[in-house]
Amino acid sequence: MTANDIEQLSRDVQYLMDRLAIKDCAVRHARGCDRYDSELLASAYHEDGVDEHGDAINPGPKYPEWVNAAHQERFLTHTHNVLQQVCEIKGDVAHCETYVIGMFKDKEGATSRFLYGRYLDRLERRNGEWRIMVRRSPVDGLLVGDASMLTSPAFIRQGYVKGMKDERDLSYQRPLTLSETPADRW
Amino acid sequence: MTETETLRRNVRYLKDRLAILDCIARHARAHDRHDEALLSSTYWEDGTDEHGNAINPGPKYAEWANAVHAAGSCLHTHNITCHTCQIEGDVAHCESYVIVALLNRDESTSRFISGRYVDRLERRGGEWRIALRRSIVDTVIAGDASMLKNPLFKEMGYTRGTWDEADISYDRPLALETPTRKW
Repeated sequence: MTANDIEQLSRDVQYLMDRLAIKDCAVRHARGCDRYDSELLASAYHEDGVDEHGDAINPGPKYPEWVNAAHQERFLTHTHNVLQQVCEIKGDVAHCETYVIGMFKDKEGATSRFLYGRYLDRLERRNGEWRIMVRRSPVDGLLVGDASMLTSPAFIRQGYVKGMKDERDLSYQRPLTLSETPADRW
Repeated sequence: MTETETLRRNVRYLKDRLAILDCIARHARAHDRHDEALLSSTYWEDGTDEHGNAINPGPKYAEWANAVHAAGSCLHTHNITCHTCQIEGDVAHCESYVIVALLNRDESTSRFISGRYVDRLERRGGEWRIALRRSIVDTVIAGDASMLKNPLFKEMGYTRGTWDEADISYDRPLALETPTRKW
């Protein structure tokens, strides 16, 4: 292998690492929202980053406070499902479009809603780390449906574990074991 | 670290991340095709699966899952979305969001279950498989699917999935001429 070959290999591998790190950033953000994990959520943004969710414009470090309150007010549980990502990298700047389906269990009543849309991000790599500088959040549509299954005897009988809004959530357990946790069941 | 060592480490990491996600994707596929052999291949022999009160040893999971899915639906897709993966040597702790989309047995209504698989995978002999899986349900949404019975939809002639090797996903090489079941 020539020196040129190794250089090309290095570039290719760096590209793959960058694509993965950028996707991981979007996933980290989604997980941070759903677990009310302010530290994790803030880590998706640069200190001087900014987030737009409609009229709500928040500096990156302040976003967790805003979104946790907004989610808590209206919803019992939610999942931000990040899907495919189109990503263009030029040096230390990346432009991405990441599809997302947000599923939210309404606090009142037996309904859930789907919001479908995209995150448009400009990320920057600083000190080897990719984080969001600007995020904009178009919503493309929504669907409301029935969530009464969650209180049906047939479902409750199955004894599924519920998600938690703090580190008691199973996803934090290290190592993961079958031991009975304080986690709630439906 | 030399450039070559860095390269080796990074490529190892990329391969591991992909192999782990592939295992989880294979599991989802095997669910949806009721493919017992494929589903079992994603767990270690001594692996365990928890779905609520139902705790199954890895090798027995497929039998349970196929029965439960068949009792409660006539088709489904397990859609893996957010995937977080932390690797430490030969152990990986993962969280994979899943949207389970199920067509109810009436073929007129659907329900979506949004949840997460929390996994501990282990690499043995170079292969990553599930040692422990625990399942969380976060929310559900149910709605109308009667469009599937509408003549306007039926005349479009879409292929319908099956729970056996007649499913088009098994076709090798994939060919336009291979006949499929239609809606």
